[in-house]
Amino acid sequence: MKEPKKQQNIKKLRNKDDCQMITVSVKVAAYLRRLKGCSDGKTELDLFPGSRVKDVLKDLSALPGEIGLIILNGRAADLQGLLNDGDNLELYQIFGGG
Amino acid sequence: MSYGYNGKILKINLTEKKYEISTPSDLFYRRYMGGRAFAAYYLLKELEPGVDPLSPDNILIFAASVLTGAPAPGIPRFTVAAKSPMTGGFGESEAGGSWGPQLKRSGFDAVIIKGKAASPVYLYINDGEVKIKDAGHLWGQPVAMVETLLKEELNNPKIKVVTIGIGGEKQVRYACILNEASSANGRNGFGAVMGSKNLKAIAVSGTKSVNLFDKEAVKDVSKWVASIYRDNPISATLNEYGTPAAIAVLQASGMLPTDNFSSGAFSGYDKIDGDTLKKKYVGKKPCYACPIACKKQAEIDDERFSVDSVYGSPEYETIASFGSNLGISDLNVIIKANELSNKYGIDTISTGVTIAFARECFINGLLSKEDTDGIDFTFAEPIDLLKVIEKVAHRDGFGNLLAEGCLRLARKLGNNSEDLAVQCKGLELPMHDPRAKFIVALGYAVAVAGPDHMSIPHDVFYETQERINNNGLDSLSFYEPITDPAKKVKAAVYGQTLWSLYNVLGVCDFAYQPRGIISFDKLVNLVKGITGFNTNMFDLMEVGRRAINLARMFNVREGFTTKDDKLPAMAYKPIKEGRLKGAKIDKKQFAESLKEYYQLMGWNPETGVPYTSTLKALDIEWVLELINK
Repeated sequence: MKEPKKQQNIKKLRNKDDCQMITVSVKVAAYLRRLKGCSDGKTELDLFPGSRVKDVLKDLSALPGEIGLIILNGRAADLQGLLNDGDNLELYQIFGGG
Repeated sequence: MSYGYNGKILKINLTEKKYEISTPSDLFYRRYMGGRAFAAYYLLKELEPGVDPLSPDNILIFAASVLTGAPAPGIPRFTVAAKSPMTGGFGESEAGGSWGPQLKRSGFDAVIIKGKAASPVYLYINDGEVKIKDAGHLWGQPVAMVETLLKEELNNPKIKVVTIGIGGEKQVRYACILNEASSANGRNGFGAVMGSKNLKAIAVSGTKSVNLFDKEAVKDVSKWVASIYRDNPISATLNEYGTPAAIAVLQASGMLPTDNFSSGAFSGYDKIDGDTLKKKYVGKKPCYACPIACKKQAEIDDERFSVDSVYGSPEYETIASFGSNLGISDLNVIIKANELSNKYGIDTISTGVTIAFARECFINGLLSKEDTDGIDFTFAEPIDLLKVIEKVAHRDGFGNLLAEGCLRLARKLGNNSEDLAVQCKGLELPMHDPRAKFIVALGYAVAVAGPDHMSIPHDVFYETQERINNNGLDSLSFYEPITDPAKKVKAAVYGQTLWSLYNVLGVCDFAYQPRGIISFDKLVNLVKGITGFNTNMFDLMEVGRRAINLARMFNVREGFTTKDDKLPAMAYKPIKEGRLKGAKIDKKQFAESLKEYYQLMGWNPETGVPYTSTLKALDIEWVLELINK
């Protein structure tokens, strides 16, 4: 039957060893070093193809509204930004006054 | 029985060496609540229009609020106000630290100072007792020393002191007032006003706790903040880094003022950012009852000079003003410049922006080494900045011209140099580029006391759904993100009204939403819990609105018109470098938005004057009799 085969294929894709993952470098400023794995101010993440910036934020355990500025490959981006292999992401916390 | 406030206002006449105690009605406190509103009320009623701000005729007011002194976080602030030596209009400046709460403990809600003492004096207010004492031995003393000497002399280690330094004594036009050596009523030159009255300091102490209506309600807010401030990233960043964390963010955003606001990005930013400065922190200087403790102390290891950590560590504004905006990336020089500014009592923003103006003039050949006492004003040698600050504070040589601020200096220089002076109404702009933030641009042009980055929440808070859902703005009727400048007037009006309320109440913008973590609900509970007033956010916003309108009418009486609600020439020139390269204010859009602002405020869009119906709705139509006189 067709359906079980489909499920098998989907299961296969979710397995990191079988899937062509993408690697994204993340740089964070100041207080964002408390994010998962970012104590040096940077980290590298292996993500599923089709991942977006918001998935990175979830992986890093960022809080809602915490990230003020997102720079993807030198350009301002938002949470929906689509990620590709080798991308450089910079994250800054929100700041408005002082 | 009053809760939250003493019901007493101290009025001192330095010329006659007399004082009296005024006891306004409960209705006065209910309607005006504190800070800017108290100040505007008394300046309208008791100051003659047209006086010279540095003459004995000016009136200097220190106003706490119905909340100040209560044991709750983020409400330590008090307002200093007078006719401003910088703008000639309503002047105000707020500070944190501990002086405001201690004033309340001494038995008074505000102090109003008239006249001029025959020779230098200080005031000592202790548990309701008032003394005017000789300050000859304090005149000339640096700021931190004054508090030390007074504690000894008065044999009272509990006093809190507001004081001026040499800058105020010499009436540097933008001299400031400090308490605890690093909490400044920075802007608008009230240090000069104090100096012009021969008033060196005001020491306050007392044993009177603020009377609380509902202790438990107040405790609830304190408990909540204590439980969460370390984990919430907004308060935690302030707790760990302080405001300097902003340097990296604003650099990445392309809005870090560089070279007298010509650019928004500075190549040396990483040498002066929050990460670098954090390594020099040796302590925190919390304001009264606040665990967030955003203010820090720093020490340096430098063979060229040392720094007294009592003067704190530079805030974001100071780092940008003495750093990127002057092309300086030597952090130790910036820390030393901050120390000198606090020691002598001069505003780091106005000092830096005036020097930046002179630097650009020097680079363009409008000033030469002959004019600048031989100092190379490119600051290729950053340490030369320290010489200049000494000269400004002492009004020495070229420092005497710099001490007048960039607009007055530009008028002296002529040659169209006024286009290079980054100011509104004669007061230098703070370190937030209006070309990058349209709401801030509107705010700068219309702010009653001159351009003030803390008079209006910035554009960034309204920009994404996530932010407005988490920072409280949805409860102020903002349901969708706003990015189009044409749609920003509502944000300018409501935001400015909210932060006007915060200035009235002495609330810290860093502790309460949208910039801080404490919600409007908790603020309402706090006001109710402290004062017993039957209030809510609608009523409190009206308090904020009332204060703006009072101050606006003061300016109307002093002759201000819509012509004064404008941006400097720089706002219409494109940002040269950085992510926002090319950005500038659209003249037509700005003019349209400004008209819309007047309309939404209930002011005549042709004259900028509040309609009578607006004043009536705020119960302040009594102002009209004073204007028409």
